[in-house]
Amino acid sequence: MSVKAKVLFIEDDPDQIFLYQTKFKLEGYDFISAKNRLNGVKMALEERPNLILLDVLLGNENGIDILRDLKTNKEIKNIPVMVFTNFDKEDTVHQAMSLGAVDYVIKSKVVPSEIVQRVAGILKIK
Amino acid sequence: MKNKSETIETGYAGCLNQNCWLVKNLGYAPYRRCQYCDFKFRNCLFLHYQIVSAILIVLSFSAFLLVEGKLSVLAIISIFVLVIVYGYFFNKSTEKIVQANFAQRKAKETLEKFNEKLKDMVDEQTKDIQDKAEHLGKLLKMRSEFLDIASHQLRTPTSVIKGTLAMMKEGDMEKMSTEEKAHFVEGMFQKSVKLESIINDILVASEMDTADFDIKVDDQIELDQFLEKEVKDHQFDAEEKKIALSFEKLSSGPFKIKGNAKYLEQVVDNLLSNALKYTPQGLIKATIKNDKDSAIIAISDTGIGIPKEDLERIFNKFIRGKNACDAYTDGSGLGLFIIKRVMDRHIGSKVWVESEEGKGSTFYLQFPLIET
Repeated sequence: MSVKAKVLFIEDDPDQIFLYQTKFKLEGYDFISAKNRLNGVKMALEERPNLILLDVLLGNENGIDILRDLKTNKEIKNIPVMVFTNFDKEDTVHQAMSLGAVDYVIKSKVVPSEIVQRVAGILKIK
Repeated sequence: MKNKSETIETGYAGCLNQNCWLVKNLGYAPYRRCQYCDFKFRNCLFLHYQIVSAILIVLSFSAFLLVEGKLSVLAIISIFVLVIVYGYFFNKSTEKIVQANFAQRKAKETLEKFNEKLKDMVDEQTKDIQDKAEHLGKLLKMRSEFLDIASHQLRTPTSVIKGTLAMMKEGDMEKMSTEEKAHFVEGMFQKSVKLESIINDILVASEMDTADFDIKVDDQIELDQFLEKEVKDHQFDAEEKKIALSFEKLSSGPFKIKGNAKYLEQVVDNLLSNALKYTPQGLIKATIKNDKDSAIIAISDTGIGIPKEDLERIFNKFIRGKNACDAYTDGSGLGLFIIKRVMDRHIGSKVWVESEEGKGSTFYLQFPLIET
């Protein structure tokens, strides 16, 4: 089975990583993850994923800063970033969208199959 | 000509003739005091009358002595009487003007004082309203931040539980290995435990987060026995993690304090649980000693420690050390906040921490003794 696309998940909670990694892999995606800002940007540069799923609260780090890093780097700024978090604050949503996020999804409001569908939609994968 | 109020203020209340020849040329205008307002003024015309009268008397007597004519004496006496009458009425009218000016001045002063008082009252009330609005704004911001973070903390385990159940429902579990299935079941169990712990912490923390939060601190507690019991209660968890947990009394006591046993149990439990959670290997020591009129509990571990940059805010709500978040632990970030709030309600007590990242932490609790 050929790999549909490569997804990078920047997230610090191992349970979340395991959950979405299992689901995306079952659906035929290559799924990689990074736990913090430094590794997230580094992996985006090295692995060139087709899409990045980005959490907002990563310990003491702010996902919005990571998004800014990703979108100001010429080499990776065109990789679509979907903010995927449980932090539901209007200001943060506006901030993320104005920085160029393709979507802002609240984890607890979707199930893994829905997020796979949304990713497929963005990447135009049938 | 100056108006009346100006006249009052410049000190010439009684003098209507500012171009008076005597005032201008001889500087003769001695001060009088106003009988109503104690205001100094020059009543020069009244004085002129006296001077003119005196001159006329001298002149009339001189004339009488010189001409010995009856008509001239009568004329002089008439003039003298006229001057007296004129002076008397003029003086009366001057007094009326002064009286009117005084009343006007008093009314003005009263009005100014009233205005000033009114302005002060309005300023004070405006400031009071501004302070209250600012305080309310801060409270609303705190509430909003609390809800944002609390909802995030609650949603995180929920989303894992919900996601796993959704995968089971959609038949994904059948495609997984036994290890993966076991991992999911364990993950769901841990997340439900965390969810319960966060709900409890949030309920306690939100109760403590109000300005009028108060607790009764009238339980008499033998702190050494209390600590020893808490350590015993955590022995099982320590053994499971292969961590050496010990209790030691470093001085002979006494250790009797006044406090709230229920909340202090939570304080010590949080500290020992944290020590166990953030110590992958090594040992945890709980000690108690006397220091002057107080007892000091120290709970030290050889765990991951707290980064220097996190030390100052480690007792704030939802704050966890960066390395604590990196390590896989399920803290809500409320444990130390609860400890701080409980210790703040025990008068004379305090909590502080000494820590070095990678080497371990020591949390201290100090209580005043009731018997020395």
